[in-house]
Amino acid sequence: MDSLIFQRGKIIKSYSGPELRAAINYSTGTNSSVKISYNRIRQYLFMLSNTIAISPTDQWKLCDYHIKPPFSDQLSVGYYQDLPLTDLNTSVEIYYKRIHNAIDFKDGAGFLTTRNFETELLQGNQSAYGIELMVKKSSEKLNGWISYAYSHSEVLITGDSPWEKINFGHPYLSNYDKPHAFSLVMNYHTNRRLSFSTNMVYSTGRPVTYPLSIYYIDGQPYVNYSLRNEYRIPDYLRIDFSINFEATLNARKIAHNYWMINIYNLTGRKNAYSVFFKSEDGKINGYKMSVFGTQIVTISWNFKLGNYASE
Amino acid sequence: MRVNNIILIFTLIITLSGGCIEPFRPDLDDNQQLIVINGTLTDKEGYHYINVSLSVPYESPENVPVQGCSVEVIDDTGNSIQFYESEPGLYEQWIDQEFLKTGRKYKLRVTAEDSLYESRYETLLPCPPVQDIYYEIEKKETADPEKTIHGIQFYTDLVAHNGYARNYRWELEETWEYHAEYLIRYYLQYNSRNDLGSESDSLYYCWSTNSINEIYTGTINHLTKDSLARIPLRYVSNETSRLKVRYSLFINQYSLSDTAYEYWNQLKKQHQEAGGLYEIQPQQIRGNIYNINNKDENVLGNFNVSGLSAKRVFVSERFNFFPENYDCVLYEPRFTPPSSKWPIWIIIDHWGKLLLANNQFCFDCTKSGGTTEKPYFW
Repeated sequence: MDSLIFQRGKIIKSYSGPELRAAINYSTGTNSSVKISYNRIRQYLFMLSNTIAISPTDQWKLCDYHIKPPFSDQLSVGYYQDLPLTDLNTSVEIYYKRIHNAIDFKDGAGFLTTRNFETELLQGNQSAYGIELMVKKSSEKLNGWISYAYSHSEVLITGDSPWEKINFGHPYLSNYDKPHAFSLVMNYHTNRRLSFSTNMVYSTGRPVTYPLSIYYIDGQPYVNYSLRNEYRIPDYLRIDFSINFEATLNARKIAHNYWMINIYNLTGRKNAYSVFFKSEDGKINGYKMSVFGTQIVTISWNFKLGNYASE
Repeated sequence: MRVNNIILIFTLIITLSGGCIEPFRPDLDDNQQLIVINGTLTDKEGYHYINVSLSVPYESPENVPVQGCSVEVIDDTGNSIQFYESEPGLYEQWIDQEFLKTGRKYKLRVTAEDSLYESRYETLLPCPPVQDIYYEIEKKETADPEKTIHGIQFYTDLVAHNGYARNYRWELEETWEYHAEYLIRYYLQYNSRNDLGSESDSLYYCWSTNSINEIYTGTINHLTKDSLARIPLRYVSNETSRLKVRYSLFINQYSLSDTAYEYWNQLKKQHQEAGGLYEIQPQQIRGNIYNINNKDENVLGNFNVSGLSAKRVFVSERFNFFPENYDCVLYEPRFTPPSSKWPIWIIIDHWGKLLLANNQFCFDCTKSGGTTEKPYFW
């Protein structure tokens, strides 16, 4: 065992490095273009997130003597095409990102009671890639967009000794891996007084480590967990709907008002905010907590001075 | 009134829309019934045991033994010893000293449920004798600021010079002597007072033995010296009667390889989670046993090959940190206790008054879970 002693005012450790950005925009036609971009980003402050407890905890941590700053290289290529005849804008973009010094909790890490976080963290590499598609319509009667993204993000943290490896040194899905993300926003104006709008959000549930079974060794029960992030919590799907009703469109008015009825979470789906397990009477019971697990209807009445067209 | 109704409905909707928690059972396509093979081979002649069982879904925990397996231990010179099933899932065998030599490698081979499982070869590392086991009186704070627990904390030192293993674990078993509160002279049976004639201590002296479930590990792997001092073992508090008369701790010291030490450390971390899950980052614990035909199958449990040293210590010191105990208060009964509880031990005081104690273990020490048979080592 040894101690390092630093005098007052001395710098213990410093990290530095360049951050580069480069972007190329090339017009392939009057209504289309290709964009290529590359950037390198360094990060000296990161968030430690334990999202598998009943109440997730987030802590912010600076890099220190033992924790090197993560940095990433990202390359993206996009093709943008406008279709003016149908008021459509479309785009497709692919990206690839590589993160070095990515940080994660090691197996068996304690979350709340440790003061020396560097003993609970390991650093490794993370890679992510994806494709994003979007179609946008901007006509007067109907406008909105549909977008879909497919992505994949995995982490590999390995080392020579078993305690330097996460998931036995095999790659595992990162905490934010969401293969499918879909969103739709649509506004429809039937006439100048009545309009409807809806939006729909869908994304695959985030990866999680589940308990699988209980087994006994020397009469003592132990929990067999799955591999790191082997399973996913239930998917997230939410549809909102709103109706906007304008008052009379007289040109000469002192004040103009409009009603809005908004239904948040139209289907009332109980999207999982967190999935947790508790040990009760020797059995393990799983629970899903959802916030806003039902429809929320809001009615609002708004008014402004002037007529309907004034700002 | 209609407005009030609307407000009521809206309030209901809003309160119901708050966070709600419902039971959730994830769809686990993984096979929840995995085979568990666990056992320890030591360098001491005697009976050795291997357990084979199945893991169970976590909502219904129970021990499911696997019967009818063929279990054998093979060493690196080609000798093999077959185990036989003595109880469901428990395979045992007497092994002579000439099979158990330090420095030899051993592996386990189990045929269960039409699959062949084998462990890696594990080297039997020598284990030094157990060093001093000593204790210190220590206080522990509790959640209640006015209540502190007193007790003794056991420690051991570890000295393992060249040639010995670098990692160890300790398994403890405690035995203690305790007494009932009162000697028995009179008892109540068949609605009459019976007199034994003289005070009897046949149910006064008891001994109780308990295997301690905690996992204790220690390593000298990253130390410059070959020794480690003050390794904390068990803490015995004044909350039970363990330290009132005489207490004894039996320590089994097992030597471990580096991979076995990692395995036991992972078990220890999971075992230490008190009540709640996910206090630590969960991990899958893998031992050293594999399915020959399917390397990816997750076989739970571990085949431990360890050198063994044992030691017993006694604590005869009389401590004075026991709190006031009102378990054995005498009182005058208002009616005769029912026949289902006979014989009731009673005390008759100077004035001939009948007094009962509020718990039968005040007279009969076996009611606390012990036995009146004195252990051979006492």
